[in-house]
Amino acid sequence: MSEFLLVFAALISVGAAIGVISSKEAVHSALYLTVHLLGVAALYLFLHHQFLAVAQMLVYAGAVMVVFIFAVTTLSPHEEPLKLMDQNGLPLVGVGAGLFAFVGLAWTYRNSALTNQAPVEVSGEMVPASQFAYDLFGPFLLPFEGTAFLLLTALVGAIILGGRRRIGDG
Amino acid sequence: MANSPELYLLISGLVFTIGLVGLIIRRNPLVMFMSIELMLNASNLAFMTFSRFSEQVPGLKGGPSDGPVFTFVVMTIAAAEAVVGLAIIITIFRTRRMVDVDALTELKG
Repeated sequence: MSEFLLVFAALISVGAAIGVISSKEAVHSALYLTVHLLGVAALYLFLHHQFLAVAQMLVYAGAVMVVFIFAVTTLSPHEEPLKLMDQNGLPLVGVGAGLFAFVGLAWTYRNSALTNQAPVEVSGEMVPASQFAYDLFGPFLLPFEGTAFLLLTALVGAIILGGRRRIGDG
Repeated sequence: MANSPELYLLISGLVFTIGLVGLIIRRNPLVMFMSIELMLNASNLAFMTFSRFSEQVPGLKGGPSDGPVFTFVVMTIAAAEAVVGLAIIITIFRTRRMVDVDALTELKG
């Protein structure tokens, strides 16, 4: 049963990712991306990390995707013709680069110290959120506070970019 | 299958590749941003996988929260990037009335 759910989540993630880049309308891409993020959240649960699975659902599939869908519906871009070959041959270049990247990634993953190990039973318990909280506010306090600074910078930047300025205001 | 890293790494590699292809072949900046999100997610999944199964490798130093903290920071960066990037796209759209990255060739509006 668990294996079936895992393969199901995996197929949903990859299928929705393909949907993101192959939909003609940007709104469909955004909705496919939401499905993909939920699938990855399910994979985080299979990787036994509750906190990040929930954060992925709330922050990513919730908040970030709201911003995306807001932007898509505000701009309402026209349908983009999808051809495998246009004047400059960019799609073929893209597929070639993708194949190259996938082979490189697969080779790297195959040769990592992790995948060369004989399969050993790993602990089957969920990482409790309290454990992650102790680590986040203990040894990893500096990167955690760094994210706060980053979000503040992004907020100020978005306000400056989005604020309406009259000509001559500087 | 759930207790070995291969399937997760396969998904991670596939999604990263799909994101890269989308970034190159699409001309709509919104969809290009979504492709970047796909690539960031694929790297997150790899981080989580390596973090979860690293206890199999003898002599490897690192706690169980190393990978998740990376994932956490990457999620924050993705959120900040989406907000600022979409603000830039909306600003461009206000002055140019169109969104096609090939047509944006000058900085001065």
